[in-house]
Amino acid sequence: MTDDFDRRLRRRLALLADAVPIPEFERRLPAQRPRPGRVVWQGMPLGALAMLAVVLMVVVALGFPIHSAGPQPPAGSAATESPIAGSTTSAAPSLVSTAVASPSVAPSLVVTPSPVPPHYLAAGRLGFNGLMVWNQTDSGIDVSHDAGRTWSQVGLADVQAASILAISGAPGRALWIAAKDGMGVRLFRRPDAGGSWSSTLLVPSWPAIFDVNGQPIESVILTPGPAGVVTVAETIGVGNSVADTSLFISTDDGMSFTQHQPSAGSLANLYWESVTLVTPDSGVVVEGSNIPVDLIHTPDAGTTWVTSLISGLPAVDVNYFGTPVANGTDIEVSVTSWASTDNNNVNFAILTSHDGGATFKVGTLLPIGPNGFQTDTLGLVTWGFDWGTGTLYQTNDGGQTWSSLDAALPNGVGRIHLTGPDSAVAVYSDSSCNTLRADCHQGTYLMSTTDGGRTWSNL
Amino acid sequence: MEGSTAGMAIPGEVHDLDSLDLLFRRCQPALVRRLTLVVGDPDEAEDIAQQAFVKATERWSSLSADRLPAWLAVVGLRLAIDERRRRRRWGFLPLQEADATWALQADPDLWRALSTLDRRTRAALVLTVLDGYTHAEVATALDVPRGTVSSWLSRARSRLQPLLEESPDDR
Repeated sequence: MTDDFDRRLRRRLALLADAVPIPEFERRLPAQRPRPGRVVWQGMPLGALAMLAVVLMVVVALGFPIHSAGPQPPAGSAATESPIAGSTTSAAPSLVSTAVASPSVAPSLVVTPSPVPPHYLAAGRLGFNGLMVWNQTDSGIDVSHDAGRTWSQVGLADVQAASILAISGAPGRALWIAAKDGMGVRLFRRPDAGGSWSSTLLVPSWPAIFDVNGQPIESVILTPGPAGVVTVAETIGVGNSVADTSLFISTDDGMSFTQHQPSAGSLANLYWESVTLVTPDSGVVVEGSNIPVDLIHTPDAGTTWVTSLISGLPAVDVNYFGTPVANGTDIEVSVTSWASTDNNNVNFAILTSHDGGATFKVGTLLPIGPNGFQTDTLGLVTWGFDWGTGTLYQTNDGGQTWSSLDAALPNGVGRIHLTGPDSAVAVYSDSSCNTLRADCHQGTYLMSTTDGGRTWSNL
Repeated sequence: MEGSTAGMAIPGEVHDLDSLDLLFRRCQPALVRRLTLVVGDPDEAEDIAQQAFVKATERWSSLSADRLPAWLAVVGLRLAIDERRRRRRWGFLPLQEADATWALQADPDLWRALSTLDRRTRAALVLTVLDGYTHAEVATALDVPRGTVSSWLSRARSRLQPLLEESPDDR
């Protein structure tokens, strides 16, 4: 958003927030301090308590157990708290209720046995690369090689969680962790098969014209490419959207690097979203701190940048590019296009480049809903999940033809990651918490499918 | 205005249960204001803030003081987003309409424009425009892809910008 727009909107939102009548809250403060391990919520109305009691009596009368064990954290990981995860206490029984006229009338209940508790993830930075998954929490880094079914914690005792800027992995190659170290980044590397960590210190030397010397690195994009290529993009912001990025490129799986300095006045002097190289020299970057974002191409390892030429896109003013994916020497990138004046006319497509990202051709345009579309690409396969309709779209030919089905995924699905041509993992958040429950669970879970998205089960 | 919830400092040792009341007193008004911008109804916002505080008490021993206000804001906004979904799922909970009389009296044009956005988008708007979070931080907080947050905010802008352009006095 523009600075002026932000400024005016901020002011009016602040004034509107000021106008909120704040209810008298002191009367609702807990009358006594909660004992450790027990939560007392003074705000629950008596009617609600009565209804909850009725519900529990009906459940007990029907003979179904009330599960007290909450979802379990991954092996080797503690379910630590974070703003994302919420709390984990006891899981609710599975209840499907019909409407009742008032809380004083016993509800008609259809009770189903609780399903196997889904796999709970201590929420953190979750990354996927095929079957390889990594998750950073306050308690450490967990890695899975079976799409999240089993986990092991990888030790990196000398690195503080707060200093980690990026994690990435490539199945069969390595796991990499980038952490702040002085004015640069220390890249830790461990073979995927296991073993000890090694590290490389990557401190950018900035052109003198850049006024960023002496500043710590703000963000890192860590990307494994094909054939031993690994890129580490280190960024220091110099404004709302302007940023300087130094690109380190390795051709030996991240054991040694060559720095490629940015140049003043380059197209690339914005915040980067992703880096995708198909050779040590050639690839694309998606950049821009706000949409519309740009897709730019370098033929010479970041020395020069040009805007990628795209043919076949609708003549609209907003194109949002996903993370480009290297598929051999081709690059595929998803694009969501709409006119800023028409939020209901949204198209999705796959762009394909055969020349390292200099030019792209658009595949078949897929009309989608305006309520959010989550996609993932693996080779020529792309799945897209429309949050508004629950429809799962699929292409197996790089976006030339599409099929669709009702994915029957639960509300709360945030991401989908392909683990094979017909298999995927969905990340979703769920909660048993509502205004009647204080002893509830809320967390991040994984579901998987192996039949092209027709059926999904908890991991 | 209490200022940004995320930036509010809680003095003293937060892990001391004595500071529970202080936490309520210091954070609750700002939290309810933000939540009300998302849900519309101050009473519903207060209930959600209560839930966020309950969760804070559950995690009392493991929360750090500097993260607590931001933790409350993020948990509260996520609860606000989920509340309507839960009410649909649990059919016996009424889907109450928001009592936004206060907003219609304060800035009817802005509120009507905000009302055309869903709760997720309003939450993202509050976190970015009012509290200064980046798109990436909001994506992490709401557990959605960064591009989705950008999409929400772009559409929010397209709906709100004509309104602001028509108000040269900047209110």
